[in-house]
Amino acid sequence: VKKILGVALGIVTSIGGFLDAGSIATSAQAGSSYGYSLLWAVLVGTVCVIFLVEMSGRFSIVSGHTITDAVRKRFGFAAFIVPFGASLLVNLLVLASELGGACVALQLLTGIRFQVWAIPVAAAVWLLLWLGTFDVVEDGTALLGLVTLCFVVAVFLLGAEWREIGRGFVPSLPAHEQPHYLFLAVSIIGATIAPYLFLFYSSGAIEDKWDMSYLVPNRFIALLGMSFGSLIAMSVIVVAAVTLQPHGVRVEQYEQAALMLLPAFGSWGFYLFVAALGVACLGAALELSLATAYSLAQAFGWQWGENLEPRKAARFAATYTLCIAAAALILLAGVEPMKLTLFSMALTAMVLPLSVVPFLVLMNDRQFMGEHVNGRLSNAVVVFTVALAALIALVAIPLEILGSQ
Amino acid sequence: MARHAVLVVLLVLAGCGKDEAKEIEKARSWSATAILVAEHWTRGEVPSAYARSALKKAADQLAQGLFPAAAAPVAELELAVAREDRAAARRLLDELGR
Repeated sequence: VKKILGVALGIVTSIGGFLDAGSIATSAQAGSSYGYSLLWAVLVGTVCVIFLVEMSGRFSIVSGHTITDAVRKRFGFAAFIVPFGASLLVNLLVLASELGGACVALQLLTGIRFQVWAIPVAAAVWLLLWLGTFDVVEDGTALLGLVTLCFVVAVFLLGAEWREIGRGFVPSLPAHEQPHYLFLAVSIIGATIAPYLFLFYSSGAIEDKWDMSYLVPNRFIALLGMSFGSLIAMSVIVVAAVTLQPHGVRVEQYEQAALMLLPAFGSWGFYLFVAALGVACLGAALELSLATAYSLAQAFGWQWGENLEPRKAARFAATYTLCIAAAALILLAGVEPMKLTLFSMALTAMVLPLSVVPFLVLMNDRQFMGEHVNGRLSNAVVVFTVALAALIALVAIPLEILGSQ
Repeated sequence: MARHAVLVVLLVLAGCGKDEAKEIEKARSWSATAILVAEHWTRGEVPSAYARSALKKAADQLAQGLFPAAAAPVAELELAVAREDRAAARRLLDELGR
């Protein structure tokens, strides 16, 4: 019974923790600009992330290692540090965009500029990590994150056209603005397959001391949690397509996205959007800070663990403290949160191979995985998606930068 | 004044080439945003703090674009929200709708 409850909680927290600044920003912009036609990108990303999350849980259960720790051992520090550094930099940008999302939620509510909130929000994230335990951080914010289900409810209240929605799952290119469409497609894939997600999941499996009996529950959590979670991201696209696109509103800023739930919920719609944005970004900021600190501590062999008192894992605690401070500084510099989010998601897609390829090698290494090595299907799905996303990102990012000048 | 601004936008739009398509789309989007925000505000569905900052952002975006004249009616809407004058905001929306 305890294990079933654990699985149920794992699925619920995966759903509640699925949405973040990246998903909200990319989906709102996709729906308002291109209707349902980018739903396929969420689907592609979701299939891949199901495999990756399942693999990361299986890896930690079978090998007893976290991914970062094992990659360093397998490839050596010299080969490991460059791609690792690139991933850390992107993580930092994503962290800034998550903090930015939480600050914008407060700006929407109070009218006070988001930069003013950068320090208080960063301090709140840091305090939660400093005082909280892994369960508080993971389960607490993810349970609050269930407020994001309001987007799914809105789809039904708004009476979306299901046949049109179905067509959105077939990849297509629009007749105009193709570079921006591709840029959004990779940003959506980047937001869905965020490497911090499976690095965090892998470290979480170690923190929660998962043993071999968790192999099957791990599959259920990955499959059901990610599938239902992605329904929320898809719902954001549908809601934006139904409520904003017909008026000609193309989301560039969160102020525009904040209008999307009003037709479904009236005045509650505004507050639901603010709550969903704030809670989703706060949860993601906590996970990202931890995931970055986990990675760095595991890379250098430091003591790590959110369940340890900060003085017992001082360098681990110092790492998340510095990351949060650096992310807050990016916001204080006045970088627009939604632009930062979209670019950091596209960059995430571009550097995906740096995180995923070494991980795949490990998943096929019998020294680590024994008989639990990857099957052909897992390898094929992940290689195809990651290569596709990185290639599109390589083309779309320069075009987007040139187009915005 | 609001009607004049709309007229200016329409005339400019009619004379624009392909290169300006993106700017036109952007101006259309921010104008639509301003109208939606003001409509929801007059119905009491969004707080004044949000309406003011969203309208200010819309006015700023329009002022920086190809059609700065389109920012004027949005700035008037922002002023109406600042004064909590829902009747004035409704009047402006009616004028824009004509």
